[in-house]
Amino acid sequence: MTKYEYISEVEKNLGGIPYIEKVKMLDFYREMIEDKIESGMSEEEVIAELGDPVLLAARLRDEYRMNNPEQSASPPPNQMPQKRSSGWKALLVIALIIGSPLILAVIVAVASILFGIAIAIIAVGITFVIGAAGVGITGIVLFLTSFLALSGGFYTFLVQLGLSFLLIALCLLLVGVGVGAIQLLMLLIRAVSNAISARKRKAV
Amino acid sequence: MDVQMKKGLLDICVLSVLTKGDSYGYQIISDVSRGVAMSESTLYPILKRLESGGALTTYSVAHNGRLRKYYRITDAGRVKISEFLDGWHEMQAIYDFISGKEPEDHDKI
Repeated sequence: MTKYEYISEVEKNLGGIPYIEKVKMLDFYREMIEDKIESGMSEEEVIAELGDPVLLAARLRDEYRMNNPEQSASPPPNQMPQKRSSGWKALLVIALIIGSPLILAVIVAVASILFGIAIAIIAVGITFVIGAAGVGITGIVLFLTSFLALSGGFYTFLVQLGLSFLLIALCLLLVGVGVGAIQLLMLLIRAVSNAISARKRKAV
Repeated sequence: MDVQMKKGLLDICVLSVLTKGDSYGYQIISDVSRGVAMSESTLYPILKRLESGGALTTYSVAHNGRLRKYYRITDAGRVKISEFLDGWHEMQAIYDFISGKEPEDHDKI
């Protein structure tokens, strides 16, 4: 009889023992046989020393029944819920692993959208301020030089003066819009930071 | 010797071997057999009992293209040994009682 035949002969006679326990038992004897052969014994000697595989299996069954009196009749009842809970845990872990790139992608997308809006508002604000400055300076220059235009006639002076007032008014309007944009940006930042801190508080 | 009693003693013998370092099935048999006769079919339930009782933990190591299961004694296992050693005097007193011998009292002259 080879060691493989011996082990399978033992396995055949381990009826009534739960699968996991059976695997552990056979692993133990497989390892023992290999180690004995490694230490110099021949395969036949090792098998002979272990004795009749049917008797060994019977001894193992007896031992198992003695150590597990409540489990010998039916499969261990406490194993089922344990298995289920560990299964759920595994499922959750798998879901998290699969889902995490998705969650990350969504966070990145939302962050980049908010960032884009902020940049756009800043750009509009800067544009308006620069525009306002340009218009304002032109208006002031026109206002100051309108007296020089008196030489070109009273009506020319009047048109230039009116134009200068118009430009200054436009400048003030643009400044208002720019300031409004910056205020809008501040409001947005505050809203986002409030949302984040609220989420954090909920998590804690 | 009474089977149950020997079983308990062999548990301690196996744990004692493991205090010298982690070991595997065949090595444990060889070490214990220097003091007490023990077969592999005796060792298996002992290791199983000690493991489920928390006296030892196991891990596997690759060896020659197969897995070898190693056993490591835990703190609870060490406590078991010292409890056995502490209880030995009680055992000695019971032995003396059974054998009808006068208890050895070292305080008496």
